[in-house]
Amino acid sequence: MNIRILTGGIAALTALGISIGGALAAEGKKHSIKPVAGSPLEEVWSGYRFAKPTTNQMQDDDFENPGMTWYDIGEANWSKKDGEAGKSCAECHKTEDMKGVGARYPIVDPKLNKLMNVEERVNYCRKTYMEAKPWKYDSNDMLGTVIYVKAQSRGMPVNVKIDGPAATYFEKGKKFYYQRRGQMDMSCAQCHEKYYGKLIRMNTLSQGQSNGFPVYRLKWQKPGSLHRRFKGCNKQVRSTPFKTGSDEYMALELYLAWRGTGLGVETPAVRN
Amino acid sequence: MHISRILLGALAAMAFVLTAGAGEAAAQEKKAGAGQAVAQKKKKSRCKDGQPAVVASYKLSKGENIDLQISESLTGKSGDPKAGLKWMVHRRLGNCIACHKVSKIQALAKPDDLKSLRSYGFHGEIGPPLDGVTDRYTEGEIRLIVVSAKKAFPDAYTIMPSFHKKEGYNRVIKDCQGYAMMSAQQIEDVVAYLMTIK
Ligand code: HEC
Ligand code: HEC
Repeated sequence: MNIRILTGGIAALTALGISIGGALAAEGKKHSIKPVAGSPLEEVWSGYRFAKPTTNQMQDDDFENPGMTWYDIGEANWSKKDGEAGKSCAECHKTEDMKGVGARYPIVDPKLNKLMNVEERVNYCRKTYMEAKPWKYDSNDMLGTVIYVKAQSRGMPVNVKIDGPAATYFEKGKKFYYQRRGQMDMSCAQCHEKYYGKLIRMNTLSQGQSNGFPVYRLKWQKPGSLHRRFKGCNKQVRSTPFKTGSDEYMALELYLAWRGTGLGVETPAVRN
Repeated sequence: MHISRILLGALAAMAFVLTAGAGEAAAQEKKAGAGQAVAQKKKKSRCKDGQPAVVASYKLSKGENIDLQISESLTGKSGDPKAGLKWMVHRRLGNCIACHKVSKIQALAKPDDLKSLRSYGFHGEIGPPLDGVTDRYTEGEIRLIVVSAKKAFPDAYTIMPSFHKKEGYNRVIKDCQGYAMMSAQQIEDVVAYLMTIK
């Protein structure tokens, strides 16, 4: 399990010859990177920067990172046969093939002509090839499997495709991001673009980046999917949330990933 | 190293069993609560603190420091500043200090009392500090800012919520539909408290 020996993606980054603003990779997580062309942000920061130092320490050490317990679940699931077809992930994929998936998803699947995140892909494979029941986004099996898959890309820069068939999803996600909602009448952008770095009562607002998901949240005592986080932020402003896996959240996931272009994948990140 | 890894693994596994257990309990609760009783309990949990379904009508007049103001009390009476303080720190009603520093409120926090620290001690930094607010605005302007920040700061794309408005929002969560964030009386109480801030 040599991914555990990588310290915070340094090795992965150097192996790929990528340097983030010339900084050491460990520091790369703390320093801002330059935004992608067209970004409304002047600097791009991972949520790592806004979490407490003690929380960062947990993330930096795989032995202490509580999210790694779910990585182990995912690793066990990888070769576990399931469903009518009696197949496991391992029969179709090598773990190494998963490298890069966490950085380039969500993608529009050309055959299905549909925007898919890793959760949807896992359920698609379960249904189509394993003839197994789908997993809920925040079940331990799904969280574990998604963490296991995405962690293979740790340190790799987020880089999603937003042109071609992805363009309409991208526009839809962008609209969602700037739309005010709820009784408090707030948009994602107001908290995470205009006021990031500032305290909102006892919380420091981050840029709401998605590069560490599923994140282990100390408040939840468990990892949570990105769509769970979306629901939480919607409810916080007293707005009706959408369903996990809904078209709305899928488009938002794509748009958000683009805003974080260049950030290293941190799955499973630890947050307050 | 190896041993500590195993130890940690065992601990983590234990923690996992605990959280998994909690998750199950929660799931069961959810199942049991699919009915009416818990739907009501849920309703209580988000807008449960007497948010009003009635909003007062008010007249806008010309302001001195900003374009508009509401020069008359929404209730016809003056508010109670002591109650105003309560609404300002209340997490579900005003929660003004989530965004604003108010030195007078912060001074109420007793450093060795966690409860008072949590109520008064921590403030956000999204909006400007409200110290000296009476030097910058008339009472009527302050009333308008709290009633409808969007009317008070028309160009500002402000994040500050409108506290006395119950319609015209997008996708309000069910428990809060048709309610304003604060009643006319509560607004007057908050205005009365703000008028004591020098
Ligand atoms: C009222 C302010 C507010 C609004 C509006 C809001 N959020 Fe958040 N959000 C928070 C707070 C507070 C946190 C926890 C601290 C942090 O990471 O910023 C958070 C966390 C997040 C995170 C986790 C970041 C991490 O690194 O773990 C994501 C992702 C996120 N928000 C996305 C969104 C999206 C998308 C929207 C709009 C649908 C949104 N937020 C709307 C306040 C808000
Ligand atoms: C989510 C954040 C938020 C909350 C909650 C909030 N405000 Fe504000 N408030 C702001 C911002 C931001 C401004 C500055 C206008 C702007 O730039 O948008 C402001 C401006 C003001 C001003 C004018 C201050 C000045 O000196 O210019 C007053 C007075 C005020 N708010 C009072 C209140 C009161 C009273 C409450 C609670 C009942 C409250 N606010 C709740 C964000 C908030």
